[in-house]
Amino acid sequence: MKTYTRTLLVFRQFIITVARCGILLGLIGGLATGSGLGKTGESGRIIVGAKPFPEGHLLAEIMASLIERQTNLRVIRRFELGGTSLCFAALQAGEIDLYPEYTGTGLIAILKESATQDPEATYQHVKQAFLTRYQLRWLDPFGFNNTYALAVRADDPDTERLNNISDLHTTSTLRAGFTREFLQREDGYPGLRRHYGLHFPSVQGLEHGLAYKAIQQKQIDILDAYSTDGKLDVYHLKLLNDDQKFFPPYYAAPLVREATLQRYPEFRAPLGSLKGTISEATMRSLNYQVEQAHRPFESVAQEFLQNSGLIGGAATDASPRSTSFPKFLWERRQQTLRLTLRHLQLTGLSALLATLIGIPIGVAISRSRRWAGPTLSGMGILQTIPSLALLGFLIPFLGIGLKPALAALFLYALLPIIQNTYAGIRSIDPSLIEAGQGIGMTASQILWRVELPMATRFILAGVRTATVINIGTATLAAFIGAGGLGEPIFTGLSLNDHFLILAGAVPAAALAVIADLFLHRFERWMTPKGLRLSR
Amino acid sequence: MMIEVQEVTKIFKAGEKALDGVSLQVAEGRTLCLIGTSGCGKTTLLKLLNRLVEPSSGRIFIDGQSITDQGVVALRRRMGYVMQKGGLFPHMTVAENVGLIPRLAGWSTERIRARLPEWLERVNLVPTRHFETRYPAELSGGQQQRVGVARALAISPPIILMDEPFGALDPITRRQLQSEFLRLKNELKKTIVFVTHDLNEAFRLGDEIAIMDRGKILQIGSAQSIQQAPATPFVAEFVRSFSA
Repeated sequence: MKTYTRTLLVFRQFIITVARCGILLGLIGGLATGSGLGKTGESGRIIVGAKPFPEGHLLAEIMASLIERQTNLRVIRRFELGGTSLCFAALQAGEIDLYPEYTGTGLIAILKESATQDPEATYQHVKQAFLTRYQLRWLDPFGFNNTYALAVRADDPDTERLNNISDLHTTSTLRAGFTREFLQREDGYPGLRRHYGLHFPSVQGLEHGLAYKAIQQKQIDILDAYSTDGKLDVYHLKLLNDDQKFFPPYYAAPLVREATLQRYPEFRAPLGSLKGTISEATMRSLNYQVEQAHRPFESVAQEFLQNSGLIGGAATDASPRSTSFPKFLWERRQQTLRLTLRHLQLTGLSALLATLIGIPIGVAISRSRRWAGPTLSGMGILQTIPSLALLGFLIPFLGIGLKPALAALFLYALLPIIQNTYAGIRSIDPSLIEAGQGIGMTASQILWRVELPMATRFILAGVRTATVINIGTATLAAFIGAGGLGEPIFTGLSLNDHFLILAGAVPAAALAVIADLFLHRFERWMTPKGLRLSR
Repeated sequence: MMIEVQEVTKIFKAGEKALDGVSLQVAEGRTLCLIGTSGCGKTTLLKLLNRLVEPSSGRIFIDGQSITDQGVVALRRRMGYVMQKGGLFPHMTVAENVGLIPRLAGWSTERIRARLPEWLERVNLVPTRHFETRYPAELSGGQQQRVGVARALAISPPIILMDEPFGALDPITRRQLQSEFLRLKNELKKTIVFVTHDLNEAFRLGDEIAIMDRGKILQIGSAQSIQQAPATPFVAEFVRSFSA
């Protein structure tokens, strides 16, 4: 019994050092009962995805509501997935069952083929190719063509005489601000440039919502837009004619897993009833409703479905949103609490995991110089991978949702913890280690009783750094459907809705500050008293 | 406890001989002082005894038994070890530092607690209650060194190794600790190897003194014999430089 008690005492210092801190974080996170991401194909569930821009979100919401109303299937929404490749990868992996896609995007961005001009031929071609190649089915298009377009200020003397894209040859002073996706895609800027032989003095990559602000403030002069964009009129922008026919047709349609269609044939009918119901003008006005009138996606989708007679019931128009930020924040307190807890869960669990694994690695490399260099620089390289790229890279292995988000955050948290553990142990005066050896301590007694206690404050500083960084990085988890405070931030960005951005950013910042203060105190409290005296 | 060193040579990686064919004996209950200029190999020789350094050739026996015949931890627990700056662990209190070895050796908390006052009184850290809860950073250099000695003596090892224990102290404190060392030595009858660079200290504390230079022992004997008959011109010069 005595020996047992002593063994416990030996472990006390370390257990306190590591576990308490980690467990606290984990507990806070664990309180947030995360709705685990179910794989698709489970009984009676349909997972609808969407890319992170309003139109995609709206179309997905329209489909989701209709399926909910007309079938018994439970619908799970995974909106704001970060881009075409993420959505498509998630669909292929069975992490989502369907999402709205555009024929031109399917042809060029996914099939990697060159553009064709005939809308019907394009649709038939992608339909055939997707079915044989990916077992994915294009259902009937919604009706409108949302092609890429270039837009300039309508009321600006420099640009008012421009009508066609080929007119751009007559000027050479326009500064361009294009979305990243447009800059990348073959059916975007690279192809357009070759087709028309364009040249701009400066081309910047901008987030779409921000590009409108930038063109209004004359920081850029030309941007890429969608022809159904609700913001065009509001910002007094005009579209340039694609006079030399470069942009392929982009008819939107539901893109669905064939396996899901066969399993739940009942949801095919509601989606079929959407065929041809949305014209370009309708789409522009729907986009306007959410982007400019700041109405919730759910009520705009509801209203559309009622107006087009697809569902019954009186129009239950949502009350207009609050005009003061505190009131707005108060109205969505429940949502904010849920997102905050999810955020804590993401950061807490990943930091806990990184602590439990990072400290032993840090100790191991402090023993061998040969491994220290390669390990630390390897972790350093990992750190330089852009967050979104890392998230995208993990999707084929871990799907979307909580798992890849935790994995990515875990990897980011590892470096500061390993580095600080290593530095903390290396900073101990070698003569103290020799003293321990000289008086007859074993290597593991020296580790647990001397090295780890003396490195405590370094190690905890690493945990603190990792946690605070992760609170920021975790906002990106929204892009792969893991939720958290990034959700309102990115929806807000695509809607250019400041209140919504702040509704995510303010709690996230507060969380970072609180976590920093809390962990700082914890660090001081954990540091052995004798070490505090010696500084 | 007799210590016997036979023809020990130590070559570090650079190829230089830190110790070159050193042999010596320390009889039970005697104190041997190793002295010489820095880099002469005295500290290396001391560390060979508790196997912090392993010899390149040669053998070391304690009571006729080779020190490599037993586990290194068991060997070290039979030898108290005192270092120049005490080697105290800064995150532990005086009580924890002194009680560390007994605790690792399996003593119960109550037993350690009961013996602690005696250990601290022995090195004049009184009132013991006051010192028990102090951290090394709260103590003077002399007090830290006393704790180091108390720690080395705690489980009554038959051999004590001391590596310039009083080297960093001011002259007054040093003399005081030397006096106490002599008192303890007579009281406890340990076999002691004591490294110093101060010949007066060696003359005062050692039963035998070994004068070293460049990895060799030039002369080993009592203070009197070294003063009266220096074996080499270096020894004569070394002795003269301290009496001046």
